[in-house]
Amino acid sequence: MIHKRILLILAAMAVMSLIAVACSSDDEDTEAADTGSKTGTLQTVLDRGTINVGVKDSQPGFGNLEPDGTFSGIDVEYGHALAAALFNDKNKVNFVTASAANRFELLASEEIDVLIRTTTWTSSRDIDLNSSFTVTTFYDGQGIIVRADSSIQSLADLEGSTICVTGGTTTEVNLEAKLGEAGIAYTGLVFAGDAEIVEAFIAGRCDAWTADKGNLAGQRANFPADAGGPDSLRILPETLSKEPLGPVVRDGDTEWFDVVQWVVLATMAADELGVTSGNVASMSANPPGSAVANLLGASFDGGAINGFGASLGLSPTFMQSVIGQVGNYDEIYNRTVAPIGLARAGSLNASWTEGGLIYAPPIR
Amino acid sequence: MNAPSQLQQPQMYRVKDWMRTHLFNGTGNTILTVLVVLIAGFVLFTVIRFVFIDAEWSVVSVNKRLIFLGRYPKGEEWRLWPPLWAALGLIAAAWGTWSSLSRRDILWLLLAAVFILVFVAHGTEGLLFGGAVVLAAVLYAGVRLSGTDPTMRSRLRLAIIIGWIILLPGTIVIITAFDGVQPALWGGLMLNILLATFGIGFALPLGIALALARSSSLPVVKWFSTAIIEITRGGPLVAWLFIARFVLPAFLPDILNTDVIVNALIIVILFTGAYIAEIVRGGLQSVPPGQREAADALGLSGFNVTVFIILPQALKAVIPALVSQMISLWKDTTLFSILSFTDALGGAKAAFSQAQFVGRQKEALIFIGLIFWAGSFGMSRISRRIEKYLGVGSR
Repeated sequence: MIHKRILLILAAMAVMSLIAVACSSDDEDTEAADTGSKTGTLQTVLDRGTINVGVKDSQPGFGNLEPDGTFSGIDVEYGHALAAALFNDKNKVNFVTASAANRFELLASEEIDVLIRTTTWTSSRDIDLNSSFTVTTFYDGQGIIVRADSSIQSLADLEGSTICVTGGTTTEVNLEAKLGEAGIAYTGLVFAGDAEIVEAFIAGRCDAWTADKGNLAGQRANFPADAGGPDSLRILPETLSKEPLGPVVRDGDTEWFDVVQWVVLATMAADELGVTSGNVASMSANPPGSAVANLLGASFDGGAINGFGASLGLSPTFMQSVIGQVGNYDEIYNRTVAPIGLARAGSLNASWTEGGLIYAPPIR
Repeated sequence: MNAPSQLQQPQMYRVKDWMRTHLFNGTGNTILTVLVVLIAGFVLFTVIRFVFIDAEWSVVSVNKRLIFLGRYPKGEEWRLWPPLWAALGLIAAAWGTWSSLSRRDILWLLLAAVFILVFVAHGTEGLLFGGAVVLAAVLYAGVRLSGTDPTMRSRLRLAIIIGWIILLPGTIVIITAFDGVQPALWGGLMLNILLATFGIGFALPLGIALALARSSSLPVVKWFSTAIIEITRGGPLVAWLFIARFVLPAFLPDILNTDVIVNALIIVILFTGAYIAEIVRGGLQSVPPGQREAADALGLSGFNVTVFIILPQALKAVIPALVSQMISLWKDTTLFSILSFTDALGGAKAAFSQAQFVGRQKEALIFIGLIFWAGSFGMSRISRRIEKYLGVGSR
């Protein structure tokens, strides 16, 4: 009996000491984390030599995994643009597949440096989730798609219908809010992803399906021919919500926020100024005006070089790398989003000079 | 002239009689037979029509790489062939020394090889895979022919076991060494196979150790093991994987905190180990107490009693349960897709999300299902072999 008791006491002591060790190592960890955050994300990324970007793997035009195992889409292009800005090499980027469910956790746990995954800028995400939305790269809005020969012409006709929607998204919440306000009774059918919804729609399980219009246009353009093809579908004119999509970073790191924000804004500025991947070399050698010179870190008429890149902590000529290797906003858009059936002209994503919302503050 | 018809008649009668007595004896059974034939015919017709007419398998053939390798970088494929050759060779040699292939096994394996050569591996890959198959066949035949001598056979067995032990870390070294491919980019079926192999390889010894610890008479050892088993079994694997990715890194010291895949593997090994421990404990309890008493009476040490008397009997009794746990782990490796890995299932999902393959998820998912079925069926056949070899159920 005494023997057993001694063993018990020893065991208790062992457990206590283990806990003590665990606690003390925890303290060290938090200290290390504190000093880590003091160096900032920019320094961490530069030291690492690559940038980690969270993207989507299943939305053509935005973030999509191709048959050869590489990613494509406008969000992916901005990952490349950041790598080009930071390292003068657009391939120094690690893409991490972020799902709707784990994207903010990936960002918070510092597994990714920036999240570019068709993420809608909302107040709650910006404020409560400790994340900061930098710039909107794509202005989207939620729409509803129906069969072209359907009797549904507007939201009011949705009374009594069944609508397919992706779970866990702002889309699902918007649908409920909008139709609830209007007093329209409907049955929602929740699915995990777009592919599942298309399948269910083809099988006739729902009368309509709702998603961001950018997404719907892409799905419509690629609607299988044996199910009727693109012409058998019609997108309702109403827009249920505003969905501004863009890169997201962690809160409280303004230095890194500025880098991500200005790399994106500078691609838009390049579009306004007519700087393209084709003419960036000649424009840098011989800038037509001070605005272009400021953007590209070149000297205009023998004047001083503007410190735009240096004040961000990057190379003064970082935008030459970005435009040369990736392109300006228009080039990126036309390479990724336009092929899925979303023309830029006339949409919210046209330049402000053409009635759109894409607008870059001046660089000077 | 009458002879042939007289010879044929009994046979004709036999078939007719059999059908009458087994399928059409009474109204009820006749209706049932007709119904079953109709349903079976309908199912067969639907399957054949889908596979050969409705289905467009291009979603699989175009995305072959995504399904088999995920995001594995181009130009690094050569790293995968030596481990594959070694693994196939070791399987063939092991099969040759411990057992032999029945005609049915050979038929299945030939079918699988032909399927892979026709639909999956073309060109250089086809040659490399064909080479691996030839190597495996040669090794199997060689081992069968030379393994009749008992000392030779035991040496071969030792070599094969050492080979397996070297193969696991060797594969990792070949894939990662000299600017190789880091775990974040492992993917596709290759990732599922690696995870399952590692999981099984480490979870089995861990499970046995936990089971022995739980039935130990030392209270601390016993409680510790019980706590591990009950805590890990108390949560779903998905939750544990999330903890591995987002919680564990905050607690682990930096040395262990090398890669997400390491954290996740630790969790999977613990999880499977806990289940295996309970299976093995069941086996330990099935060994009659007389066995231990007899061994004690012979003066064997406690260690020897456990290793040479108790464990062999206990493990033998629970082989079916152990194998079903391993099959379950093999399928659970698809859960890694929630940790941002693109495994075989993740690759298939990405494939049917591509613009040109919208609505083609049936084909992609059926193909993945077939792959996982083949793996599970193979494991189950091997387990039957092991049971036969050990003479389970035949005493």
